[in-house]
Amino acid sequence: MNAQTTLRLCHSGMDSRSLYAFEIFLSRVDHRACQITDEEAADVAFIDIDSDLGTYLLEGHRLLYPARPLIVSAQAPKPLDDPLTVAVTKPVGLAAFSAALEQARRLLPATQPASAAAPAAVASAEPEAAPPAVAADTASRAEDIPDEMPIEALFDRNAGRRPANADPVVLLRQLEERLSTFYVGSMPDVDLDNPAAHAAIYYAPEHFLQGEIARALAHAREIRRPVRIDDGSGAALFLDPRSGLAYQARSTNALRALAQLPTRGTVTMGRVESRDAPVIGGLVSRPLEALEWDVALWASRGRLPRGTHLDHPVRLRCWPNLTRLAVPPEAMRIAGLWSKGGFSLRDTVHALGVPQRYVFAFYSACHALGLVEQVATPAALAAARMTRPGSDGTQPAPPMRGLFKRILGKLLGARLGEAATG
Amino acid sequence: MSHYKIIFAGPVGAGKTTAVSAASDIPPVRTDTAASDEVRDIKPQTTVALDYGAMKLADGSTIHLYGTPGQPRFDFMWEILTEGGIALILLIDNARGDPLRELRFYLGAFSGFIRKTAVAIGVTHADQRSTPRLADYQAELDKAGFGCVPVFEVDARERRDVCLLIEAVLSVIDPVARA
Repeated sequence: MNAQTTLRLCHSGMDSRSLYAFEIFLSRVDHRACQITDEEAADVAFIDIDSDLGTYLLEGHRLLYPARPLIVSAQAPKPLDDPLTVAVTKPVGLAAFSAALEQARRLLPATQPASAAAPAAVASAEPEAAPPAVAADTASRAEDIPDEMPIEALFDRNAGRRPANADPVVLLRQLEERLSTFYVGSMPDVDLDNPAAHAAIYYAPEHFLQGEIARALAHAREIRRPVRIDDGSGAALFLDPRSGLAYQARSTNALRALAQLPTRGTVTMGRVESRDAPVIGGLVSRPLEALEWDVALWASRGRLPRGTHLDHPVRLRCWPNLTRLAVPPEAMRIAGLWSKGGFSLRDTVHALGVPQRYVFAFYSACHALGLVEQVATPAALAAARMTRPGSDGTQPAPPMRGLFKRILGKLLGARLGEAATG
Repeated sequence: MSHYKIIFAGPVGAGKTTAVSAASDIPPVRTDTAASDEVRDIKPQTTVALDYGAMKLADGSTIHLYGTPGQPRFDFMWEILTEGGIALILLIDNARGDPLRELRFYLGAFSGFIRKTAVAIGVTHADQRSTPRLADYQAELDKAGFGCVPVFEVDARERRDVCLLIEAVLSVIDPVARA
């Protein structure tokens, strides 16, 4: 197999832990066989249909991508009517998964030579080459993995192992990047100067669960009563703006899956009635703000709400409560920059040297909570031009940057629950 | 060797001692209990009602964490402690007294230091009283001319919360710096 036939694989229905294990699992499959990419660029989708929303995911994906081969995993796969779907039985072994990939490859239209169609997208899915120490780490772990190993076991067995000479901060950053796909997806950077590429960086929040929740909350405030949101299987969420709490009747993984695809009429809203009380009583609550934040990140997947301007300065009205909300990658640095004012989204990507999806996802989540705005007055635009970061890198670094980098390395470890310095 | 410090300030009971302990890699030195009248007669560098902790960095250097005395009668210590500091973490107890008044007081007391460095606000005990909200704190900061400042709910016992506050304040000072 050669690089010309690398399959672009997207996935659905996995939580961050499973995703991490899955990526390790893929490292044992010939790395030229497939690479993880975003949903729109994928040749093949891998979907775990045992989750709460498995059927919905399968149908939703087929609706959006009728000609795309799918690989579905299940404990007990049922016979499938869909000729473009390949089933694998869990726990998924390397041989079975490789065979499924090959089968899916044969289902691709003859005119679609996998990665040859868009090599840039595949290359960008791995934004930074792994340092040698990290690559060696991955390889050594992969060597330990027996051929038939459940994905969950892969994670537990290998967590925390690393070569003695590996830079812990590099490993932590790599871990953060891997985990980040749970919230910001894996959309590759696009040429922001190419208007044709702009379709890929925008989404319409109102077409997603994010929009349904916003409408439901507005309605609940109007009628001064809690509301519920139902999916195809019944009540998924109960929202009570008076208490500021949401009650979630779906697993986080299932909710994420629901939030990632356009709802297309599959979600409805209604008042909470007295008969709902026993159900709500059995659910754990969480702040509405945290739900809105997560759902916005999931819907965005590294894209911007339609209508957002790339060159208007962003004003951060208020920092998100990042000790109680999910911290997307580079959120602190982005917020730090925006708190100074005068930086547009394009400038932010440039100044911080981070993937566009990090900036766009963070903006989308802040926008959902009303924490950011774009300033388009002539004075603000002029000020933004003055503060625009130079492209020649001649600006001298502040005197304490080296110290800050070391402190931040330490803090990254604390944030990820590990000791950065070993 | 340079003596880099992060300062924790705020009213009594806001969680400064706990926060310094949570972030420190060494057993913290606590002198709050020794802050009696007799102690005040001893020379400042050995007396003092302060908390001390340290973060050990990978290169062997140390970031010193100082918790200032909360009582305004020790305010003479604040200027001494902030000398050479790189950032301020201000903790405010949301469940006691008038938190926004406390915020105004400490912003005023440390305004010179904040203008030279940066501040992040940690709101403690928000689980016991939900108001004022974080947006109310930001409104006070706007009124006082400090602009958009990190304001987070924190549990001072949680190392992760305290470290996020520190990360935020450093990101305000130099967003380009990266681990």
